[in-house]
Amino acid sequence: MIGTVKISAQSSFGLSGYWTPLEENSTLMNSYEANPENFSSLKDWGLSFSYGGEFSNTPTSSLYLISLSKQIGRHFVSVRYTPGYQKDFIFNNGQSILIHDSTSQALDSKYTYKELFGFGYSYKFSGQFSAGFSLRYFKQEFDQESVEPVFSDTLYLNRFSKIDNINFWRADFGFNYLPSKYFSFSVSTINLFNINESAVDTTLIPYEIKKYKGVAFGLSVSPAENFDYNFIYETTNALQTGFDISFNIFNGKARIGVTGFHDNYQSPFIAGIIPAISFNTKFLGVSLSGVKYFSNRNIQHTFSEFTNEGLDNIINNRYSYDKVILTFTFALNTIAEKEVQFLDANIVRDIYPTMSDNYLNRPFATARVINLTHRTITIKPSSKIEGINEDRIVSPVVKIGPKDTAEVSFYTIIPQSYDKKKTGISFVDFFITADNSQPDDQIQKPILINGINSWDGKVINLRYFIKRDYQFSMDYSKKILSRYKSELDSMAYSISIFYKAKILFNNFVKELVYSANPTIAQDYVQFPNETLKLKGGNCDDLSVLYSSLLESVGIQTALVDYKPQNGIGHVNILIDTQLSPDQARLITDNDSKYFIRKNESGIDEVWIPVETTSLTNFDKAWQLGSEKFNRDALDNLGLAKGSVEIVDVY
Amino acid sequence: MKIVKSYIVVFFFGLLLFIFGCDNPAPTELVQDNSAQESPVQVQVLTKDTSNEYYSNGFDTTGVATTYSGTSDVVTISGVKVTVNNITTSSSLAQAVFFDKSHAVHTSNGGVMGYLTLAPGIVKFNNQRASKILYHLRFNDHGIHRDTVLGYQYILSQNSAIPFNFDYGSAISFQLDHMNGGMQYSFNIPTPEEITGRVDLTGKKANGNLNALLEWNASTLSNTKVVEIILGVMVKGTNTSYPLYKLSASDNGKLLVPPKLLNEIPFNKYDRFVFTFIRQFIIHHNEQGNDLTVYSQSIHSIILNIP
Repeated sequence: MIGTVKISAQSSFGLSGYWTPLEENSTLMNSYEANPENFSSLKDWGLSFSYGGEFSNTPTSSLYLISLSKQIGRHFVSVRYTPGYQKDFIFNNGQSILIHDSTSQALDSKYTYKELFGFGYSYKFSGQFSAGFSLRYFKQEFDQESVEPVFSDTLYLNRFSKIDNINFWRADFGFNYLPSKYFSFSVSTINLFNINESAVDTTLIPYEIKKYKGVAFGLSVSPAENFDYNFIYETTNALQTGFDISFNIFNGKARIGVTGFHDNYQSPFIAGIIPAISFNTKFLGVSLSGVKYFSNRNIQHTFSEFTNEGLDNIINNRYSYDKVILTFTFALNTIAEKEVQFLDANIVRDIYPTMSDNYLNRPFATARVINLTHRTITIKPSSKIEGINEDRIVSPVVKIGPKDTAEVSFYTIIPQSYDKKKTGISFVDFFITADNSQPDDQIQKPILINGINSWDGKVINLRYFIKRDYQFSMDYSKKILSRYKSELDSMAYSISIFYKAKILFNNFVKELVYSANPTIAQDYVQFPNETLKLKGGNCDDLSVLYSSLLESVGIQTALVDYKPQNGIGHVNILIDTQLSPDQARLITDNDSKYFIRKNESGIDEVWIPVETTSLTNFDKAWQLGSEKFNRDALDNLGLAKGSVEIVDVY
Repeated sequence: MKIVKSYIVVFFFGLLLFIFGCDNPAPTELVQDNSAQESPVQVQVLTKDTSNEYYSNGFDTTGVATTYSGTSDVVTISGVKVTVNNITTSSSLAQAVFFDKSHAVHTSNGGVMGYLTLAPGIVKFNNQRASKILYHLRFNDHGIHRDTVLGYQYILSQNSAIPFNFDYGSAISFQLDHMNGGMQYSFNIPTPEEITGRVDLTGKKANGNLNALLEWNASTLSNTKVVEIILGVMVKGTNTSYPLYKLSASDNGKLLVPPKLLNEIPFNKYDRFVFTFIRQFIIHHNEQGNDLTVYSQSIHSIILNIP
């Protein structure tokens, strides 16, 4: 029966069978037969080789394949060398020579078909869709012994080998679509392009590999956990179907599968099966597969049968023997397996560089992430703002349960040296890292970075413009106070604070004019040196300046935030005189011009309100400040109602 | 990382082991079932020294069919057709040579070139008496052309006076009457089917792409399985021919001459091909202690200019 059966085997026949692309499976990267579209879920480098044996009359062993592959971003390239993809036919070519009138020597021929190497490329357009192509080089060598006469002193016949090579390239294209983790679909061409060398000896044309054109449709579904059903159909009326079952064992994944193959010309209907078992760890994969034909393969074939039927597949044809294949794969993963992934990320606060401390304890961004694994993992979020951070700034770690989602917060550090005055759009890269040294995922978002003078309009944040160790303020204050050194030294220390505040105020106001800008919610705040240089500023600038000068000589201050009434807000300052309540009479007998408040050590002390915009003299400013404080904060219950707020600078 | 290094070592060690421990996949041996497009053919060189114009085995004047074994007497009957310029002439020929094994003829270095012949009596084919004529042997003896007479032979050829006709697919009787009342024997010699050949000669010698597809009427009987084709050449400007090769092929009607056999011929000396198709019976007899080899053959020679 088999002698009359025309076997035109599947183009998609692979020595390891047809495996689902739904799960990571290193065997796929070997097979341009079942995977001409070069799909792979490999993360980085991959190296594999297949070694096996054939159960012919004289069993042989061969290195079937070595392949190397690499994922580069969305690109995936692979090359393979296939020394064992070879089929030889030897036969008496029907010619013989008669030597010495009696000895006959038969002339033999050897036809060799090889697939030498291949190259694959694919591009992952998204997690669901990738497309690519494969290019394969085939060598056909027709070695025919023949005779040639040699006319010399005597005529004799010389036996020689005539070798014709008819080599060709085969190119195929295809795509994979994986809309979910339960379903995948692929389409690929069969012999889309063939670039052939032409046969010099036209009698060899019938013996070339047949190149039927067609299309292969692949389908994989996963109806249950760890179970995949796979099916591939070729328009040349060939199909493969099979399933695989996987389970976790020894920190790896074991899979058992079987593929049956059929084509239009073979008998029985399922001409053979490819059982396979594999075990994969993070780095190493081993698979053992076999090809078992259901017809007897160790029978004699005739040359006329070969002439009539030809050959269309090197590794699977009517002359193929049962095989066993051992495949090793090695994942040279410098890129670790992704365990966690961003779902989205949001900037919750724009960056005001001067308010740097703000970002140490309050996140400037949050993101939702998902744990892709089946175990609880600890993830480490980090971020890097272009133009601000030179390194990634790590935020607190977060634990996420298996397959769960969580919100993570991103904090940052703004270096003291940041001095850009211009506001602009930059980008921030968010990273999440699980157990690996490299981030599992990253995402980039635009972010507004304000200039260093920018202020978000919140009085509480004005304190960031007031720095106790601000060199300019220290120099300026000391310079002025040094002029009053003898006076200050001669008075009691307890009252010297008050007088220092008075001296400083009376001196700097001489250089300034007030310019109101009360309606702008998000303001521009001048640093102390800028205010003095520009000789003016609004209540924010002047409060910052005066507070900074006082703080630089150790006088504690607080900002009084008169919250906007009818859209107009105001700020001035309170000065801690460091006088005890009993000593208040040393500076005034009017108890409405001061009030008792705890200092940073929690001790009750006399604080006086000063209106910084009153650029006349200290006494006037104190008077105005007291009146406004008494009216808005106390009489109108501003402090109780929250319309007035005292903000300690430190 | 230590585990990774271990894997790498194991991997490359295994790879080297496999690379150097492999065979090629098992080849498939195909059985030649003689139904290929090209007929199986056996090639034999006939004229080893083509510069020798004086070689003839002498016992077959057709000059194409047989090689002398030196061990038996020879009877040859031939139906001969020669086609030149698409004109075919036919003739019939019968011949008998009886050797005297006790008188060998030697070359100067001691090799046996043949034997003296005997004329034992009267030879008849189909009751037609064969003529007794001298038996010449020509050969090159170390550069010296020798032409010698070894005795007599018997020849019967068709002509207007002698109605000897080679009946194809039939039989011809042979009879030997010894003189002086010696031994006498007779038997019928079967004749093969008539062979008619055709040569499809393509290509050009200048291009080195001469091809000769030979066709003939395949035998309808099973009594001849092999056809022999003598490929010869004729010297320019002469009628001297040299048989170069004998091709033995299945009697299935078709043979492509291995192109090298044609294209390697030194065409500066030769200008015509001679293709001789031979369908032949070889019968061995032992008559009263004497070995007798009988050749019964249909011969068709076609002479063509070399394009």
